[in-house]
Amino acid sequence: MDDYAKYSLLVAAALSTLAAITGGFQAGALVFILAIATAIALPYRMARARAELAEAELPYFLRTLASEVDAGIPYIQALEDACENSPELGKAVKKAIRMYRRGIPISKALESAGEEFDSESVRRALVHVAALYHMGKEAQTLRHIADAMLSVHRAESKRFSAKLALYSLFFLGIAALLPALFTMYTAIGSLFLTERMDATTAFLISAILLPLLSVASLAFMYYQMPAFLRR
Amino acid sequence: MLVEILGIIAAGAGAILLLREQRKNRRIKEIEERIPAALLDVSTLPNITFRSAIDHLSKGYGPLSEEILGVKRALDRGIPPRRALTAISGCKSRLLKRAMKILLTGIESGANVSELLRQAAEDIEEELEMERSRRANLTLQKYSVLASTGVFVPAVLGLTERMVAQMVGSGLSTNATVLAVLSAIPINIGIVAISGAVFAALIDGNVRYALQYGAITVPLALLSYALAGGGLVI
Repeated sequence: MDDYAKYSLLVAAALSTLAAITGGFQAGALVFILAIATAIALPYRMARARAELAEAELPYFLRTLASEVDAGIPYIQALEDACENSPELGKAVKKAIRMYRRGIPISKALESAGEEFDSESVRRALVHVAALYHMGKEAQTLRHIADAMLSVHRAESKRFSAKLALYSLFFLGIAALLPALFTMYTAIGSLFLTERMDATTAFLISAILLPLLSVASLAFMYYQMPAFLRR
Repeated sequence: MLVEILGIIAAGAGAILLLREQRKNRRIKEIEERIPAALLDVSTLPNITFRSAIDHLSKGYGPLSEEILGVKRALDRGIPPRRALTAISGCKSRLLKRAMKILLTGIESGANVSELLRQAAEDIEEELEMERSRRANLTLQKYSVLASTGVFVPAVLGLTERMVAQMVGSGLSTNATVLAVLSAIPINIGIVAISGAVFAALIDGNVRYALQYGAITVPLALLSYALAGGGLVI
């Protein structure tokens, strides 16, 4: 069993024990299932997020590389320059450059850099980057790939801007209307209805749960944004 | 009244800090916006040399020329081109450094400089265009979140509080549940205002801005809440 699985099980067990002590067996079981599901999904989600970032950086990486190679800047130097503004992709490519300096062929090194990402487009683009070194082909191919990716980004960007208004309404609903409704509910409940909530629970809902929901809705909005729009 | 005055002062100070920071960034943007046109202009010069390109760029391109002027002065003092380029190392524009490097290396390597500069101008323009479209998409989102967290949400909650206080009337001081909910509202408003500031800073791509945005949204939110709620709790 690797370390990640071991620690995930430990954390899930600790959280579910805590939940079982405070909320009973059912709460403990529910927390255990949720913790395990999160532990399983997390690595996939993180790998996908990394691939999305690399895909977002790819067009600029390719264009910088193409311009510098055309200008006569040595290939490895141009590759290093292209890494400067591409933190995620740059990390993998810099590793490939280090491998190349240790004597591994650049195509193999770049191939292994591509394998780090869960993205077919990154892998394909890095194959073309290696071909530029080996065959001395025109950097124009890299520009075509970059242009194709940019036009996809533009289309996605338009689609996202159509959703923006909806997200803002959604946030206002959660951040303003929900707490207002809750405040009215407690006031009416305590005055006219038999249903009364104890003061501590009401305080915790209002001071912790509701603001957390607002923060979660902002986080949701942020992560709905295509990776190339985030910086 | 004191709370309102303090709120206005704090929000004003935050706004000044934010404006100062944004003025610095605006200059970098102005420099970068001028690079594609400048490179295209240089590409039309006959027999382009590094010296002639720098002479051409050192006037008529606003803040870009101000940066290039340093390189020109270094060349005038007889410093070799590659070392003269360190004069722009203080400028935080990555695109300017890249353009200068392409210009110099292109000329040194004997490549077709005109074609190279046109290509570089097109690349940089493409990058700027994507950034413009990003800003167009997200600026509205950023300001609507800032306005919501700094004004609308606190105002709605302040009005709700005022209504509840009127509804409960004199029994408010003895109603523990309602008092607990009302006392939690400023905490809710504070957390939402801070998270709005962090969101805006993330959209700007610099988490450090969260402090400046927070310095505006938090006092503004408490101020809106106090005004809408009739200063009941604060």
